[in-house]
Amino acid sequence: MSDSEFVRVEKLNRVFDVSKPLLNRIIERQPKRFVHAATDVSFSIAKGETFALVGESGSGKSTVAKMVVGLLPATSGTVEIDGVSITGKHDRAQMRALRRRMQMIFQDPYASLNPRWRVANIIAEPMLALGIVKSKAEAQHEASALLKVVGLNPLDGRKYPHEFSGGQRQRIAIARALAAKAEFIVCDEPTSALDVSVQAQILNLMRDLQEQFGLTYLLISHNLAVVRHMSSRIGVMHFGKLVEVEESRALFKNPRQSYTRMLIDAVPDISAATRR
Amino acid sequence: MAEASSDTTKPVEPSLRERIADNDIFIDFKRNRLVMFATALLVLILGASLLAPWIAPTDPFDPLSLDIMNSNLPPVWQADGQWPFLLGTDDQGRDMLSAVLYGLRVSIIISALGVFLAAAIGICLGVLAGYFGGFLDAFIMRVADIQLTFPAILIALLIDGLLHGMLPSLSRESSASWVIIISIGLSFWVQYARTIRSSTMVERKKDYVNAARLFGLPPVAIMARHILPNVMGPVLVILTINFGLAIITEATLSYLGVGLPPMQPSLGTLIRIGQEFLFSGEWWIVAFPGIALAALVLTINLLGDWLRDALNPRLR
Repeated sequence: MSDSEFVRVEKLNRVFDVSKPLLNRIIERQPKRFVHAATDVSFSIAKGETFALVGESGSGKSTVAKMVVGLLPATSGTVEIDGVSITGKHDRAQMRALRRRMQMIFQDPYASLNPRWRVANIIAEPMLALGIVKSKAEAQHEASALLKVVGLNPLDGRKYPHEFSGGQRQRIAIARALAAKAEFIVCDEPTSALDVSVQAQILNLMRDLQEQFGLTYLLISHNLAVVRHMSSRIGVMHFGKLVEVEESRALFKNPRQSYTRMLIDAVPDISAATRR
Repeated sequence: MAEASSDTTKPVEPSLRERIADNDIFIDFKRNRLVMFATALLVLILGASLLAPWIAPTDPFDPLSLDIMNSNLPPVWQADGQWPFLLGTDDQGRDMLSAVLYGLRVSIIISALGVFLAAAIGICLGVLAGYFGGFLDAFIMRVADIQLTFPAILIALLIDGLLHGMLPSLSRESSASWVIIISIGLSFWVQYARTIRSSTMVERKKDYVNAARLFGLPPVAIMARHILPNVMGPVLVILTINFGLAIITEATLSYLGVGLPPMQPSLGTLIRIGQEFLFSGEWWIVAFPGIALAALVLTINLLGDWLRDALNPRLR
């Protein structure tokens, strides 16, 4: 396995059955209907790299993200992390070891933290569930250290999520991903629910942490400015297919696909208008 | 990073007393005279009935304390009334005040256990149905639909018949209270299951559940630790309202004779015994258990109605 393939996604497919209920199909004489949310999506991510998936709403980026972390079973295809397939059969210990390696940061920081839990417990939970720490006290200690790492006050651990702003909540979500000692983090639109003024802070924090811990990111976004700022390589998704994978700079300078050009041109930006 | 740094000083937590005084629900409670009155009365009834063995003038379960010479005495304020039989006596010379206190106690304990059983069954099935969906969900909810077509009284009669058919040696005295508790549990669980299921279906799609799945928490732990605390809100209201209904159901069953035997009378049993004397003029034997039952259910319903409105922010 070469270093350029820390995460390898091979021919990932996902088909959703959106048929009407059986009785309606019989009465209306309609066949089953399927939606191909992802068709033969293949890419690989090197260690320490940020790979971005862009595309318009409904292009299947989030579906791919969910399949990569295993929240959604793939119809076919494989996902490998460090040469180990996550779709294959594993016993409990192997699955645990795999789960430790990958975590996810969700789009909506208002829904991704349990409102009934204190922040310290939210961050401590993956450490206890994955057996990273031995005692609750150690987990609490680690949690306050992680709060400091993401730029929050260690004493904030006693508060509940509703006492924080959107940006602060996303920091807590990042701390939770770090608590699992993850090496690979899937970020599903991590800043699209945030204020513009806060977006840059979160993105910079993510970059700092990438350097500090050698993290590998899969960044899902529809915001090309974010993608350009963050990623070294970009995959463009359109109707469930990966239409173009290119180095970030080359993609913006010279998009090969007309769809990619359309996406870039759609950014309401003065420099984009003069680039043509 | 102005956004990231919250106050560096240790947050000053308000004391429990300040938090209660600041609470919207408490403020609403203080404004509502009727609810305050109902609560006071309920506390009085609950306290008096649970302390019955210590405050009741006599023990109605002890045949030795009964004297047939004292039978059918009217309340003290009537011409023939005798001290210490404040509310009169029944045909066996049993002090009505003590009988009502003990009867309240039996009614309250049995109804509460029945409602808790119903809540336990309903919450478990509701969370399972909402979380897993699919066939399990359809199965549980259809069972719930079928369940709703049987009145509680019919279920109690069925369970009573089944138990005695299967265990002929079972004495009615020892099994009666369990039959009622199980009947109440099996007829009231549906409401909990439906409420909990719908809110579970909302919660399980939220990302905090996905996050918990990501670090490998088993479904049981996700349901118990993450989903349950977020869907328990409406349960308190249903519990209160169902408690009143359960007391009425228990009284009805006892009145019909399926319920508790005369040796450990609940309010329903007392009313059943008392109605036999209504036409011979001994009205107090049926009237006081009836008044106690009405007062108990009314206060619980008043409190339940208020609680439902107070806990629903959309109604404010």
